[in-house]
Amino acid sequence: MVDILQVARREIKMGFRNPWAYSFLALFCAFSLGLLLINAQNEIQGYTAVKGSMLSLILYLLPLMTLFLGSFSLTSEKEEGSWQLLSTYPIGTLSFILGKYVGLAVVLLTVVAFGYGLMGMISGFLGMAYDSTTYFLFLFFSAGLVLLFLTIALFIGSLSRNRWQALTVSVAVWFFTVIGWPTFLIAFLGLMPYLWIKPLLVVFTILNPAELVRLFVVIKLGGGSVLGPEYYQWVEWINGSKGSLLFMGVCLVWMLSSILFVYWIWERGRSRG
Amino acid sequence: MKKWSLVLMMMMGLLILAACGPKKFEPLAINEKVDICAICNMQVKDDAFATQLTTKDGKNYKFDDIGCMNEWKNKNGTKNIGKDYVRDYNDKEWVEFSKASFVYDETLRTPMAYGVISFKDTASAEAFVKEQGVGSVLSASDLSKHEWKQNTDMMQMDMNGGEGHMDEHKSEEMEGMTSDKEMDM
Amino acid sequence: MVIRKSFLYPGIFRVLILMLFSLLLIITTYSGSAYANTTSEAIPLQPIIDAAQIGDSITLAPGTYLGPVYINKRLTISGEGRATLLNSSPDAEVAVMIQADGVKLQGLNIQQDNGGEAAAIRVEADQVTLKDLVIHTFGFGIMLREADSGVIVNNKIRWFIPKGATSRKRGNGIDLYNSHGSDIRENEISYLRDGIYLEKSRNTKVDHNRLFHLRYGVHCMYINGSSVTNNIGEYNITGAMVMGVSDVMVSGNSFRKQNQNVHSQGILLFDVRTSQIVNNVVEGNRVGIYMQQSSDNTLQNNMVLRNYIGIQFEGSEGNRFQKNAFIANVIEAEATDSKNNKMTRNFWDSFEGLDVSGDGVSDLPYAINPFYQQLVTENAAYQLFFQSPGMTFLSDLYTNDKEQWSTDSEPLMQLDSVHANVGQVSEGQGSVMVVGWLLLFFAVITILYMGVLRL
Repeated sequence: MVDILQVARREIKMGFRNPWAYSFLALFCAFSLGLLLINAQNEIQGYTAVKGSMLSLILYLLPLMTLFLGSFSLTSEKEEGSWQLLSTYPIGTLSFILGKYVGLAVVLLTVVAFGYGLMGMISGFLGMAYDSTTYFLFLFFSAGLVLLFLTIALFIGSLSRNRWQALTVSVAVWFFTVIGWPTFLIAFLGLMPYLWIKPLLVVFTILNPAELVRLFVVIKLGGGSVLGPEYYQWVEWINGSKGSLLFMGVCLVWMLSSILFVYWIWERGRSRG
Repeated sequence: MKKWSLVLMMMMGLLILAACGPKKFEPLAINEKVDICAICNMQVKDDAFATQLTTKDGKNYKFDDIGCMNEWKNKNGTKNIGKDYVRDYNDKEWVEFSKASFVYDETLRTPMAYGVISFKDTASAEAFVKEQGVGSVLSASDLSKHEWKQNTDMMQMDMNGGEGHMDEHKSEEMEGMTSDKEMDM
Repeated sequence: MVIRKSFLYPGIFRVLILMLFSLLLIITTYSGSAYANTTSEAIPLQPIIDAAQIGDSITLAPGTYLGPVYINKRLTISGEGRATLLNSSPDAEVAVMIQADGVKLQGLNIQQDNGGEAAAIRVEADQVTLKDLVIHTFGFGIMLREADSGVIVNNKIRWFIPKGATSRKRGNGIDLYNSHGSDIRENEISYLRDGIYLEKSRNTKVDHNRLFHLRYGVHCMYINGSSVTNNIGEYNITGAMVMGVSDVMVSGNSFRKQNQNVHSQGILLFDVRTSQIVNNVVEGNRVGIYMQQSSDNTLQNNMVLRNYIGIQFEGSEGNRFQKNAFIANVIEAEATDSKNNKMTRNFWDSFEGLDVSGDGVSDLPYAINPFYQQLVTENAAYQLFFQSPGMTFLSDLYTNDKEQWSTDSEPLMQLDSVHANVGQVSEGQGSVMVVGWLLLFFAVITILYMGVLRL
């Protein structure tokens, strides 16, 4: 436990001395002010065009930012040789991975908090309408995206040899999960028999954090009916009292299993190295 | 990567099992919350007028009136249909379309006014006609020659008002045949 | 249990229904106890009617009266709002049966405890006036059968569950069958199946009614020459369901917040011909206007606001579609198999037009991309991709037979009317600001402590 905190502390310090973090901070602030302006167009509660485009914008930026910062942090450990150094210390691989995760999560969430804080504050100053449910839902949505994509970032960082490889893979993963997702799925599922399509689609959706979190927010904004008759039971669960808990449970399982997998990769590397 | 492919293989295996299991085009239960007629968009009530068909791909369509199912067949052809079902007017049991008997009369009230109702056998269809005093019994093959006219104007009803009332009363109760009986008879 | 199946929807709807039920329970228990005191003095109404002469006006003294009653001569019965007619006898299907032309019923409260097919009022005669009635029914509200030229004005019709009854399926509020030329105005109908159900009833006027929490607000089947005007509908599955008609006028209606059911929509037009759909407002619905297999209609000056899908065309041809405004819809329009529609001068707020000639009309056309609708028609499972960023990307890539798409050849650059800015909500702003401050504070502290200060 102490090890985890140590690693996390070191990670946070490194994170906030990293110019990348600040450039993303600036970008995210500019972006959140943009959201604020979009939202200022006579907006009400619920799922509307404005919310839809806000969701899309967040989906473009946050996963990319998370993937970069997360994967670079791991590859730099390899590139700068600090992992080789750390391996000689009596520190568990799991503690190292968890510490990394926690540290990076704190850095990224701080960036997100800064952006949203700025947005909330300025909207307050300017007296713009900003529905609180929406605000909290989007905050939650962004945090969820960051936490889930961070595990993918750790993956990429673990498997890449250097920063450039991590960059390439990050962009590829981002494109695949956010932009190309429906294209690939529709192409692939088109080959499947009709009855398989829905179950496969559901499985793949759970595997893609971007879609998972987006759908949760759409449903929570009250737009569940737009998903059609195939999913009305899901929508009912998520809108029900235990829906959010259920969703957090799924996210937790997601994070834990991928962290364990990353741990396995590093442990293998350690025993061989 | 091995682990992932293993997991994927297992999932695929499960899916194949799940998908290959029920290939018999069983009739599905009507869910009034989400089922609408594939033709006219009206809610499909869980009543004797509901019909459904499953294509050979396993895609299921539900209809609120036999006439709407007929409309679907006109549009899409019957080649690709795995099984099509209608319901018995008296006990709402699903009956294969080809094995069912039908009664048509323009004064019968059905959700889309096609005036055709279905029975599991000729005997109960004939009993219905006898009891109501109107209607003609048709078989599934007779229906292919049926003109499927929607009765959208009931002016002539005024003339045979008495019987009209009976039918109307009967079919207005689109939800529960049991309650219908206890009050109607 | 039965109700659960037919009418409960998730979320707000459920809560509202629960609230209503509890309210009704309170009302019924309250009134139940009131009746208990007066049951001994509850006056059977039938003898009073039997004693009256044709053409008489009866004013009922305040109090409770017992149904059922059969009115078979021309009478005017008025309760001045304080007379209540109770029908709890399980043998009697109908609380008030009207079989004589020209009967007038007004200012009466009617409670129908029987469910299923039972109606509070059943009319089988012409020129009947029903006015200022308050109806609580477990089954249907007002039923007209072969009853022409009825006048149904300013009634309140609600569904309720009598004490001790297990809930059953709801009936319709006002149900017309083969009854022509009626005038249905200013009624308020809620929590039933269909608010106003018209079948084979031509030349009916449905005007200024308020319809809440129903399956379909107004449900029209085969009612040529009727009009549905100035009605308000909220929280129904579908506001106006117009099917199998021609020459119908649907105008000035406002249908909002119909988005809970997976098939919710503001106005549905199926098999509608040569009709006018003008000046309606559809706001916050799942689908604003859904038009299928309808031809030669005019859709004009409708406001389509904040729907998930603004308008959907399917197999609709030869319609005039002009001067409608589309604002803040998640997807503005979908169209498949809809050719030869005259689509001009609509305002599409997401469309970036280009007006070179300066006539207020874009020189670039606005084409409706049918990709998503084609995809989900093939397999409804793909609705999961609704407005996913990747889906918008893919739709933009899709340009097959672009010349076949439904296209607005001269979209408006600006909306002349300004009534789009309705429904501003700015609650909970304080908390957003406080949380904003807190978040910013924590973020800055963390950055300073962990990053900048080298402790």
